[in-house]
Amino acid sequence: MTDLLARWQPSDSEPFDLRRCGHLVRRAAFGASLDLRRELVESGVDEAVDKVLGDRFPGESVDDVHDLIVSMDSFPKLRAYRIWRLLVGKARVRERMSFFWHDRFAVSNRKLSDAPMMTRHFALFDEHGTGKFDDLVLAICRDPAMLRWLDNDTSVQGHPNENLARELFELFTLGRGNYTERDIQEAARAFTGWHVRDGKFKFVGRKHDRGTKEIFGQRGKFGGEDVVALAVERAHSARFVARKLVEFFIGPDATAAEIDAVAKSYTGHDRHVGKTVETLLRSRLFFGERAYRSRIKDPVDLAVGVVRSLGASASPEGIAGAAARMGQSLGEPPNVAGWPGERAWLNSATWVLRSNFAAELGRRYGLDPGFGDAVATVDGAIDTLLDGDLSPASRRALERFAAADDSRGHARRAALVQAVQDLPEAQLL
Amino acid sequence: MSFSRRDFLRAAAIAPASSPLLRWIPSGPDRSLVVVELVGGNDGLNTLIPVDDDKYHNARPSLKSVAKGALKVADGFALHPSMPQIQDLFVRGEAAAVHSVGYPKPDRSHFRSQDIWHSADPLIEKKHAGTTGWLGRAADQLAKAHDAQVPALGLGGLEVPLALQGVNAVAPVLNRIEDYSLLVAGGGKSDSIAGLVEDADAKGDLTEFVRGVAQSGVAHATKMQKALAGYRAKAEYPNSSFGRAMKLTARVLLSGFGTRICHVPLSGFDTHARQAPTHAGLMRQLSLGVGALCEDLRAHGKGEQVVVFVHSEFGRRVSENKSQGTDHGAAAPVFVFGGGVKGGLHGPAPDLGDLDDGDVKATADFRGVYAALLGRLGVDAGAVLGKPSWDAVELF
Repeated sequence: MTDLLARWQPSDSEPFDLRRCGHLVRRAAFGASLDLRRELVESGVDEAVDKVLGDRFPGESVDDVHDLIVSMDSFPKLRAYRIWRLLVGKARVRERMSFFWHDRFAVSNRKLSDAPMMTRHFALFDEHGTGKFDDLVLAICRDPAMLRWLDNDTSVQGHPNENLARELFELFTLGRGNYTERDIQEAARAFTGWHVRDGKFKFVGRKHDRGTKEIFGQRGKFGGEDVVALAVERAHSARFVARKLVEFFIGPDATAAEIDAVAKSYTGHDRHVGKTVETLLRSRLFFGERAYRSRIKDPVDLAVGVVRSLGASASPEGIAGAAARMGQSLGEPPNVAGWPGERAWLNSATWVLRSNFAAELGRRYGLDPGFGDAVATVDGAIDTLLDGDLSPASRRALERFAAADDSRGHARRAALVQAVQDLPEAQLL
Repeated sequence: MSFSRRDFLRAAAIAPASSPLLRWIPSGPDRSLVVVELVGGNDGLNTLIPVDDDKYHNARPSLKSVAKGALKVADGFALHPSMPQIQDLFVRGEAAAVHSVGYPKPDRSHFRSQDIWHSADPLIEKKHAGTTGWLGRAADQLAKAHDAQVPALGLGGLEVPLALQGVNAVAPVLNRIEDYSLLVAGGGKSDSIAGLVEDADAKGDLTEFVRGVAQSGVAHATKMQKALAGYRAKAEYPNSSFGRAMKLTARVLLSGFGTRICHVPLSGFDTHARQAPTHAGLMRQLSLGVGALCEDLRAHGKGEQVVVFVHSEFGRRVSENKSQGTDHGAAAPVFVFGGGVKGGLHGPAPDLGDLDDGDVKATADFRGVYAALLGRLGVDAGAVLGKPSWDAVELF
């Protein structure tokens, strides 16, 4: 078996060029301006991945977030803040992973109506999203937003609510078929008394069931922490997490070999998500043809990606609103399983919205005027928005469009932004 | 109106054995359903008011004031005074209300109760990726049977409601008609976009899928623009977001675009405190908006083809609370307008002397109402709602 996760080495026939760099910054972050991508190409793949893995954002840990919570007094403000983080700065995998986990530990403010609680909720992803999975899951199980969302703060000894235990096993750590209903009932007892007081986690000892539980065939006076540990330690869990990572970073329809390889890496890294992602991002699998443009962009990916690619400075509120109209309101996923994603994003109406968004951005910002005359503008548009990589058919279609378009100057550069975004390639991540 | 053999067979298949087939009106592809959802839990007792019931007056020392000036629609029942347009529909025989609609074991959480109404599943625990809504499932059928490209639309909401989630298609949500007209940057024409998309790459499964969506996007936008260009409102719509959504609904339904199901939310009904002015404003909006839609459709000769259904996730408590408001309740009336509905009030009047923990008991299951609406739409209600464990409500 070839080692799928062996380090990818660029060669003369497979260089680290705009195309592969575009793939890296799109998947590992939310895209980057042409200038930044050229800079990354120049520095070579190893340094480019180092840069994307990057540093912390100021105010990123839960401890630092207090001031932020005070200022996030409304949900639209929080949503704009989260979008702003995606729009500004260099390409960073931490932003990607926070967003990734938001779609997998999905909590909606539509039920909570509590911007400070949601602010803290997002901060957990910032803090733990690229750390050990154990810490992330435990933090999420003690997260006031999640406890409210899954109604655990009414779960008491004698009347356990099974919601949290069920989602912990089904959606967060193991997947269907890898636990029994009895496991859920017993785990639910362990989470009794995990409540919310004054917007914070509170363990209410007298509501907690201290009796012996039997989970996955093991017996003990388990508490919630023990349940989390039992779940993430299971072999099924490694494969479960591996599948999520493969489906995101490589593409849908993960193969058994891909899942095995990533699960092995994840276990070898002691369940450290960030290190597993780093291994993936440097791998042959990631830079192979199978992964390139293999997924449909989420609305947030599409909207933020175009802005970043153009190097434009759009209003976070506007981008948040545009993504919401296309079906993805950040902080308001439709249910605990997150957004359906992939092909479900696209229908005739959402495609028109996506095209219109490109038209508006084109009008407002256009391509870099430096691209000059007609032919160079087409190439510039492809470099800026599509990694300099386009199928022959789409390139011909674009050239035909450009030849028929007799506008000049800004109007032409605006038209080309929309035209490139209307090509099928632009919808792919 | 066309009535194909297939329509006949479908109608025959879902007609209960007891109902004579002759009563089945053909369901051509031009039958449509507009669902107006009153989000937040509408106070049914102050919408269709039991004006002669002493128990109502006793339970509502301050909120009963609307009974004065209420608009009579049947013996003992009158509409909130802000609803003259709806009263007019009752007078015309184009309006029905079903008393006390609900589901077994009422849930007083907005969230869960909305999920129940949207999914048509009273046992729904939580939504999953594959959870679908009753309108989405109906749209799936319509898409198959009539090759309708956009069988269902959400209008005026921010996101796709669960009700519109189908197995095959996610219904788009439009806020503004501009959202579905193709902007062209840089002064070109939409033809040039159409040509571009036509020529673009379609190699490989995913690219082919995206190219196909792009083609239908350009085609639908163009078709809708053409269709909508011919629309002239023949009624005056209120200048509110709900009014605009109702006007957009009329445009879509009258454009011949092929959309058969529209879902329109009207929010703000969670009236826990100082309910009277808020509720009056909402009733006025509802009445003006629905009244205008029905008048417009009638003036365009489409009054028979379109049914408007108004519901909320629950009613409110019978007794008002200490803040001149009402808390979350259970069963409440639903309304059905236009489309050849049997006018008047259906079902037994709510018995305010026999309550369930302070709430009106359900005497009709919401799925019985859904079944009637789906039948009218020409959709196999059994396939959408499952095997009936409830009584049908005869509305048409």
